[in-house]
Amino acid sequence: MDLSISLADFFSDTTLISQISKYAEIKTYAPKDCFFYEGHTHNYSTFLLKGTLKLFIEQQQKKILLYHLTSNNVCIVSLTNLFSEYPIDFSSEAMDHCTLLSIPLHKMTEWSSQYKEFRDIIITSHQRHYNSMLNVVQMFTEEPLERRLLSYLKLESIHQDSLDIKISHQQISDELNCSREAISRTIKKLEQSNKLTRKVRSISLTSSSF
Amino acid sequence: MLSINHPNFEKELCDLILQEGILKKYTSQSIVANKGDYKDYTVFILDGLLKVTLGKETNNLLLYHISKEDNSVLTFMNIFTNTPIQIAVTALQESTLLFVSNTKILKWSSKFDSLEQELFKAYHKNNKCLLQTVKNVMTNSLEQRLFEYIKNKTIVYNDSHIHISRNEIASDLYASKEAISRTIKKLENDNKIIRKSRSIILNSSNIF
Repeated sequence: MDLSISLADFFSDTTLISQISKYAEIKTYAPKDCFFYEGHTHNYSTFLLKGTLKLFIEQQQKKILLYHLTSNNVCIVSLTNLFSEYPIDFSSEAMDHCTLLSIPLHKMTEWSSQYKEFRDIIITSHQRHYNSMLNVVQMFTEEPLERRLLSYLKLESIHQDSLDIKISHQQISDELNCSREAISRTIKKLEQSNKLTRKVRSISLTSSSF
Repeated sequence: MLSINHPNFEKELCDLILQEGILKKYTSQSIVANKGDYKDYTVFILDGLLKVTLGKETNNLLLYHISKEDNSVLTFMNIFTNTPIQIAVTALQESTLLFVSNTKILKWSSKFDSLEQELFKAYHKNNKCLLQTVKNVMTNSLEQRLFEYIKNKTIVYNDSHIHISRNEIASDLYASKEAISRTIKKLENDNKIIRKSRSIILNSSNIF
């Protein structure tokens, strides 16, 4: 595989690119592949090149959604596992076909001091995750369940590329960490205010929900 | 006599920081930065204790603390673009801070690895603490959150007696004062804390 050509889509420094082709590994994942587990350590750091990831925490076998990470620019996924083997504090699942880069930890410090582009990626990745988390905690504390549920459904709809979302009430209640009754009740309310229609095996968002 | 007592910083770097930094002193409860402010600076903490909150008028949830002991740098997470900051920072004790413009910080961090490492440490800490808080808020009951809060405050203030008003606790935990009073009573009934006339202390037989 000619790594250097595809890497040029993501990095500009040619010396950095040749280093990456030499030492890093490219991994691809299919939708629903789970590859990070809370508490695990790796001797490499993971960068997202293409695709969308779902970041979540597990509690009592429920997967509680934190946020999604999309590959707008190269973004580091594992912030705790950056320069040393430190346990990862969330789990991650691919939402579509994803391409990730694994960079050995011992190269991280070296490249971050040698290549400005690399240092910049580290900084912007931290900022992206930070802002996503601020958003999550704000939504969780302030927004009523109706609005949180609608936001969630809109994201799923963008993801499934359809206004018609195939998803179970159980999955929604797990990811939003509330009871199935509350979710069912809230879906009914959203239907009454014409934001969606309940179908037999899916939820269909209406244009007025956007 | 001001000094940057950082074990890894080169003398030249310390001198630059002291020379170019803008010194500001804060009293307890004074605001260092508000949500929406433009602060194109990175801050060196010479002394004191700060808290970082969501900063919205109706929701000032406590996110984490910053003190000289575990991190000497306060970053507003805006180092490349001078966008309005997304959080609020308040001094909890008398604090002495040194503001350095982000352009200088970026220039120096290319020259001094020690500064770059310190910045990475600050980013790492911010993200780690914020994620911890997010998990806590999303999965724990108010009772658990209040208990964690009291344990945490005992550590950051290095004092077993917590002298924090009910108002501030309610604001920090984004709960009503009534809910906080109720929950404090419950924690006391469960022998986790002891209420004194003007403070709360952890019941030491039950710590951790």
